[in-house]
Amino acid sequence: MIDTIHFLREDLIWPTVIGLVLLWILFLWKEYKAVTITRFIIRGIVALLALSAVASLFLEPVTFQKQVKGVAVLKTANFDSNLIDSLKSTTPALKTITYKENQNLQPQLDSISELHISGDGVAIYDLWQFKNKKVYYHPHKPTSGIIKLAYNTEVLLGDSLTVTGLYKNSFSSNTVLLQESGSRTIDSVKILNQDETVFKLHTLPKAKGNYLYHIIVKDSLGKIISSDPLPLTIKDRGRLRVLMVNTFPTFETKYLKNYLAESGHEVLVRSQITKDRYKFENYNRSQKSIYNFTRQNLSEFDAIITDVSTYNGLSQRSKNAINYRVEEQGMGLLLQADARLIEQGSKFGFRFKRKNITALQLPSWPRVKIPVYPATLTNDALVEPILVTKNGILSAYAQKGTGRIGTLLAEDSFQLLLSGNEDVYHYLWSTALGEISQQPQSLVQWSLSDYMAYIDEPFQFNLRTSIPLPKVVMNNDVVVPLVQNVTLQDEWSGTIYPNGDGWVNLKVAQAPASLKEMYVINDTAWRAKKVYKQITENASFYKNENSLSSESSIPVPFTKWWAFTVFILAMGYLWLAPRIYKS
Amino acid sequence: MLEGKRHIAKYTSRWQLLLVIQGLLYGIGAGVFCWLLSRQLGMSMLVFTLVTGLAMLVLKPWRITTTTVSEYLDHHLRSAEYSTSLLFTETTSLSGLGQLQQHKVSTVLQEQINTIRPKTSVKTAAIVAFMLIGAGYVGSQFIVPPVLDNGDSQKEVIQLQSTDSITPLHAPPVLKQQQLTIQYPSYTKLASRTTSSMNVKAVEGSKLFWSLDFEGFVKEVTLEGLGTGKKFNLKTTNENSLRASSSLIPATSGYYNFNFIDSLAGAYTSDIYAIEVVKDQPPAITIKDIAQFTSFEHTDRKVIDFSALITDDFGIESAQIIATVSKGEGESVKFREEKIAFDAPITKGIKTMTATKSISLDALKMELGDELYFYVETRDQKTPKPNITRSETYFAVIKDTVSDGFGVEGTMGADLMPDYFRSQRQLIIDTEKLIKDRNTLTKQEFTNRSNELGFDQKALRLKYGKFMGDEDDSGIGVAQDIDMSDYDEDDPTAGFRHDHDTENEHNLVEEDHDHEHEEESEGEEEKETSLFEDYLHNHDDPEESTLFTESLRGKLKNAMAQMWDAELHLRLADPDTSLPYQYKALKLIQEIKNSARIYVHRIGFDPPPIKEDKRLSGEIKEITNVFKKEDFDNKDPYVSMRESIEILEKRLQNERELTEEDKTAFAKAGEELAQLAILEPSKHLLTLQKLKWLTEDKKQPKTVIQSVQKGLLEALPRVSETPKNPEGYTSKLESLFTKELQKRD
Repeated sequence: MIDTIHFLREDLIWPTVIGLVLLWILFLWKEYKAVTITRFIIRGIVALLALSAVASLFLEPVTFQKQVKGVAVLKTANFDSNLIDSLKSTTPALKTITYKENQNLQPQLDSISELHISGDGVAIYDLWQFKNKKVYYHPHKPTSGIIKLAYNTEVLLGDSLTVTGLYKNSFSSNTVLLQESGSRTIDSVKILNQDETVFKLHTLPKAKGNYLYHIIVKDSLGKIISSDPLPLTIKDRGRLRVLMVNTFPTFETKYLKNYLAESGHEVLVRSQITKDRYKFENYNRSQKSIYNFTRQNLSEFDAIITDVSTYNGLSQRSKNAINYRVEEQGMGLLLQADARLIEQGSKFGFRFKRKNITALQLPSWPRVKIPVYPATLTNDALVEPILVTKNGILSAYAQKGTGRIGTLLAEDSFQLLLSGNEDVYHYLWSTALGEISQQPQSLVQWSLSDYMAYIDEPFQFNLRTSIPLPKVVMNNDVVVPLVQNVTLQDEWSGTIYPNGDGWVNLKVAQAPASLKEMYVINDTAWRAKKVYKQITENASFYKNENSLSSESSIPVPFTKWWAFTVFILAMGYLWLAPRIYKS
Repeated sequence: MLEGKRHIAKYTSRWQLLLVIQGLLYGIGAGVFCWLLSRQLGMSMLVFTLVTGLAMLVLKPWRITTTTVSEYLDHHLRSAEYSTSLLFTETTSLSGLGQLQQHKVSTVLQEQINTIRPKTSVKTAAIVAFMLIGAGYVGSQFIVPPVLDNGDSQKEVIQLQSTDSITPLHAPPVLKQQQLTIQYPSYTKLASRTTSSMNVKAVEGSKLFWSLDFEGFVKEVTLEGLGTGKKFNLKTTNENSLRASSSLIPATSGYYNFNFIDSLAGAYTSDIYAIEVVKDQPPAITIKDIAQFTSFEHTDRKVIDFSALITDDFGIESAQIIATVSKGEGESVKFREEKIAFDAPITKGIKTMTATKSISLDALKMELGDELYFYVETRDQKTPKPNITRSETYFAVIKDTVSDGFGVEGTMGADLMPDYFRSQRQLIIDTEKLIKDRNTLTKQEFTNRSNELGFDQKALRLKYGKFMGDEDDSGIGVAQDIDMSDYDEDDPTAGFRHDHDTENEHNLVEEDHDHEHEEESEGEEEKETSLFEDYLHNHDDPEESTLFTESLRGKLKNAMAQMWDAELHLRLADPDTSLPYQYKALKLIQEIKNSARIYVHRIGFDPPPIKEDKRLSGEIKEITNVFKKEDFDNKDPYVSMRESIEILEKRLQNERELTEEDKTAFAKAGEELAQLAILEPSKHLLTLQKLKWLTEDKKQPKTVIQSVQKGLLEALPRVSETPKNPEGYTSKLESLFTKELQKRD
């Protein structure tokens, strides 16, 4: 019996026992001289009883009693009444609980050993209440609509925006439209009459800023079925700082330099005129010259474009400076392809395979032949392809430390410009150069738990930062408490509870440039997606929860009246006894 | 019996009504058809009346009387037994049988009259009318509105917008009437047009007159846009009304709007209107029935016949043929230009015409080898500067029979081969002729002619010798040994002397010139040396002075040796023996000609290889570094448009008010958009107009903002691709990981 007694405040047992013993010893010492030995023993026992009663009041003793718990069903939105009826017929004592968001269900759940949940499930933020519960989830089949969505909430100007989604249960041939702000439809997809359809919508945003695009679903008669907001932040593209070095001027360099300079990038071109004499062309930057490369003067550039012969002709100090910048600081080195690169590729981490080809075609432009050197790059462990065609890798980079050494195998690619294929030329070089260039390091990296937040619902975010104690501020006035990751010192997470729809911004107070904007939608938007997510989260959550046995014993507290009565009686005796014996 | 009579009367009126409906249907069909195509109500009414009237005349509903009806019923209602006419007879006057029949018919009619349909074709008429309306509708969709349609038919009212945000307390001036008169340039012969629509399409040089009638007082009216801020002339026409008028000759297409200031300084602005200036097209010429290049044999009938189709949008002023005749070749070519009229005179102001001409080359005094170039030139009636169009140039040549077959010119810049090359063949021909004629000639004559041929052969050899640059080699002094003072007109050697008498001299080797000039300039003192030189005619080194390569030189020497032998035998009056040598010489000369061609191909600079150790070892003190700096910032011509889109989005989402700065951005965006709008006015005009509203103080509804944003987004061209480097974050752990990964590599 005794081992079934437990104390709810187990952590306080020892201090209490010590206190109790000390008090008792004090009492014994006080009583020792005053009374006879028998009385002393009686009083000592009574005092111990009184003290024990007080201590038990404080420690809250309980006994675990085995109890057969009941079965209940939790009705959530879109619950199945047939299911509840059939459950009732098998289990007559079935309890029915109706779910309401943000409600404490603990008291009701305690006496239940088996819980059935029917319908769309409970809100994700309420799932914690069902921890260690045996739950049978009977999800409601999602009706129809866009249940999954993937896109980049931040797009650089000039990049294309691709929205990928999954449409479930289209009964008629619906159309999904992507609408730009200003209600301008920019792309549309017809959804076939299928169980699930993956759709993709594309556009090229034209101006920077925070925009609210819309995904609209129309039925075959043109009636709008749903219209959901798609928040999008379009950012200005940054400027690259490029150094181009050649021992002699080539057309390839000339056209590339023109393209980069006209796109607004900072370009310094150094071409050799004769021994120790150079031509320096500064575009979009202040006039400067560069002779020997040092860590100092190379720090002004994000990427160097050169060819193997030029690289080989550099002094060892210059080469060391380049290697340091690439390996330690992440600068990019783009080697213009030529026969020598194919010979000496291994020096830079590339491996080439000679192949009898003269041209390659990109999948996006199958008709445009890009003249190439008769070789392709092989896919090594540390070589990452940038541009892949059907017949081989056209461009790749080799990771060197934190930086990248890349190449593009196109031969005289300026011919593409001359033949009017500017788009292909721009794509080739911007992809290759963009991929290898040194990225400006931001102090903070955000990752949000979803594309948008809902009003009055918790929204989780993570951030990685090297700032020691970051302070996150929402909308410039609310400080959000953060939790640091135990193992990864630079990772923090937090939760916000937005209270109105519209744009919300998060910022690390120590880094004003770290502004992250997100959009808060109201409960009616993206309904199908939200419900689908809730159902899947519910299903996976309950699957992982192992319930205790169905006969689990529950703690039953002792009635405190007993302890109180014992205390009062003991105190009464101790108060009365001296007076009785005196008299 | 009245019953039956009444039925027939009813039937009669029904018949008449149906016929009238039928006629009306035809009329309505035709009328609506006409209106759909022409959109002119008056004309359509007229067509309706005419067609209806015509149909009535044909159908003649008034001809339907009770008699015709009773006959018709007799024919079609068998049970009436041809007795309906009985109904019109008094019952009392009928016999018993007749009365019985009358009664019977009356009952029959009552029951069956509705089964008989009157003889009308309302259905057909309805179908015809319906088809006409359908055809009219379809037709109206395809009809292209006339070029200068300024939409007279639709009355437009200038919309006044108060530019102040506060609605004025007093009543704004009322625009009663607006008129725009377009006066086309006189040469177009288009009548002036007056319209109430303020969007104009006018031919270049047209004058526009605006006239706006106001009720209430207006202080100032200005025309904004088109680079002008023209004020209108104000004239009080009535007690309480004003007329504002102004005129303008627009130079380019563009936009304008009116600004009004009322008596209490309240400002108003109108919508934006477009002026499209249509350029007068230059005339077009199509020449038919002739090939670009025509050649005639000298025996042909040398006449060129052709016709030219000339069209212009407003009228042709003149058309003529400009012909150029070229005579001669090379340096001696001469040109003669002539203006030739077409066969029939040009009717001025005609829009399309076909002009014909036959040009006789003989009439142009053209000879063999002459060439004719001609083209047609036409100008239209545009003032002050007419549009001039020229056709392509056509060629006609009379083939020259003699100049064919010589091919060196094709590959060499200068004609280095003299005409004498040809005479070796001539010599052969002459020699062969001499051999053939031997029997008919006396021995003296034969010897003489053979000797003459020998002389010719010598002259030819000497000319070749000149090419060798070694006249002396021949052993015969050429020109210098002939005394110039003894020059004889009949001297047969006159053509072969070393003086500048040959036509082709200037194309020949230059040395000769030099000698001549030296002789002229050196003067008395140097006479001795020059005299000596005369006899020597010494080129510094004969080996160097040749034009040809070594093998060519050998060949020429060989040819000359052959000529020597040929000459020898000719001099010996033995042409038979000479002939083989002549052939050999000819063959060699042909080869030389061919190798001369190759010689031209071989020419070119073949630099000697540079030794590696000499490279980059030259003196480079004076070579300096070159510096160049250029900025391509703000290349984007649509900065403000992009900025405006962002501002509008913020305005749409946050409902915040637009600031003055925003309005400045809109104004700039408007300028940028106007550049695009000039190219595609119909697409961007509305956006431009609404953008202008946004720059004003009045608050605009959300729909306007939305449509401006949409319009701007549509107008913006695609953003071109360029390398990007988005910000990244690398944690310590990641950099450690990549380093570790490469260590193991």
